[in-house]
Amino acid sequence: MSAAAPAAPAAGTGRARAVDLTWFRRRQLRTLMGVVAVVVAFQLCSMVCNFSLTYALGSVPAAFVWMFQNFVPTAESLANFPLVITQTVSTALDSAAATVIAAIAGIVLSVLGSSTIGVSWAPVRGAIRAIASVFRNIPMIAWALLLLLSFKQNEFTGFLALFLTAFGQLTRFFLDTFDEIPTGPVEALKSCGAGYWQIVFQAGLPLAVADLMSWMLYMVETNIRSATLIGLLTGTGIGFVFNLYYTSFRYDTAGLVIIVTIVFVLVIEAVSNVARRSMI
Amino acid sequence: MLLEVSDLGKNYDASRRRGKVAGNAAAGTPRALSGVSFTAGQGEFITVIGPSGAGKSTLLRCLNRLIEPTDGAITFDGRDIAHLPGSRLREVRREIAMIFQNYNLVYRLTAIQNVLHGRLGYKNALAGSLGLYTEDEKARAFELLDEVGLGEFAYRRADQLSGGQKQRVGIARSLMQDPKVMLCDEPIASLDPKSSRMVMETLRRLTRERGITCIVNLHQVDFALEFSDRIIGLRAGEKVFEGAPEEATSAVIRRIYEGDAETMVDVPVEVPEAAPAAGAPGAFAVEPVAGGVQ
Repeated sequence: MSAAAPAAPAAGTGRARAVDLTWFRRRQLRTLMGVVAVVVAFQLCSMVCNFSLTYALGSVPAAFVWMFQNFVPTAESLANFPLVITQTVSTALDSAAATVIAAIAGIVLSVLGSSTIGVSWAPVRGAIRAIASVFRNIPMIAWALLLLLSFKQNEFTGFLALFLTAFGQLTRFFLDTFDEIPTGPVEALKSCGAGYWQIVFQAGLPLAVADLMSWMLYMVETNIRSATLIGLLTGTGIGFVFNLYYTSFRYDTAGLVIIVTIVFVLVIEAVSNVARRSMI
Repeated sequence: MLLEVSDLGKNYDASRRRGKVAGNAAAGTPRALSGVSFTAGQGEFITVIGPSGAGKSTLLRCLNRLIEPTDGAITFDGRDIAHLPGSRLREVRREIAMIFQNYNLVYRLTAIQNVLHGRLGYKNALAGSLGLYTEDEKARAFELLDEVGLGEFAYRRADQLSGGQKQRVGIARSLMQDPKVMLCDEPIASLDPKSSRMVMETLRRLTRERGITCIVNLHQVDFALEFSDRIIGLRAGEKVFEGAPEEATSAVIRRIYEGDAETMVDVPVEVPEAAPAAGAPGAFAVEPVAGGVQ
């Protein structure tokens, strides 16, 4: 842990340098005190909660053994492989679609709300930031639960929950991206007599597009992961398949779902990394 | 006269615009410009010199209304442009080109796309946004790139060009506008001596061959003395000198930069006014490069 910087050596004393050899020792002492404080706090909390570190660590191996015994897919569970694959693909496509549509909406709003190429009327920019904030700060699970009431258990509910959070997140990221584009080229186009939309399309978007795509791909990845969880609630996709087998004690098929999901996410991540590199 | 500026003033405190001057308007300066008047004829090469924060950038940006002047009048080609409504500004701006210290190219686009940006002021919103240029415009863009010696770099992305090459793309972009006036804001401040000379010579050639009026902000006094038809000295927002290079004696130059210790170092005060090039290669601006490399 880094201790806060000690008082600056007497400023304004002219040419005299403040030589203080105890400074280093005092700094080390502060770090040491910090570490001790953390350990003491941990011990106190453990006592209050009746938590035993040794017992907790000791039970880990047994838990893993149990997991491997039960969750490893059996030959029997492989019969469900086609179902698992089709459901995983459909879940992934669903979340990718939600993210891309969210990105399009996000780009429109963040262009208008940015400080560099946004509309000049400040209340509009403030409102866009507020909208992004609201959608971003409502957790995806909360959206799913809310939407379940009106849209019932179907794929569209999951799609909407993914869309709304991705929209909030991406608008926020895109606003930052547009805020950081260099103002020079924007000024140059203005000096050529370019109009607002010409500046947006000929300077704003080209300068931001690599970052925008990178954020969008990141969101596609996260959304595929989240979609699994959303599926548990909405009773659709791979999440539903997992839940079905898990609650009926068919752990081997549930394990198969987990493995397929992990492999799928890794593949998507690798693909989007390649896409990112080709766009720089 | 093509351009007449009278009693131009700019007060940053009065107008709470968020437009930034490229780091030149010193904080606490009550008036960035006050009572500046001058005229510029067709094909004239005018340089504006003065210490950092003297208002050179502000002056140039007032002329194409990237910065709103607080008071005074600007007449360009018979039109009063200081009070032109925003909707009609682009008609004027497309005839007043600008080139910048940091080139200000859209660095993710190719050289040829950047040159074509010069036509945006003449195109409608849709065609301009989508980059739909006419065959004539494209042919002309290639011609201009050839003319600045960059024909083979047409499809090179702007961020892969050297500083001097970027600035020449900037010049080609401004020529694409068919401008009557070119405003050059420290065009060579980020360039090495060889590229600097090349850019200055290109600018002078444009004034001679095409009759374009160039107004150039410079930190390099030796270049100003060598290239200008007329020199304007600014200090603390006021015009303190105007005259031919021969009239800008070392005493005059010292007076323009007076009280600015940092820039004093660069002023070739020892050089007799007849042989300004003597101090050349070393005389470089101390002013830090504002935006850095693109």
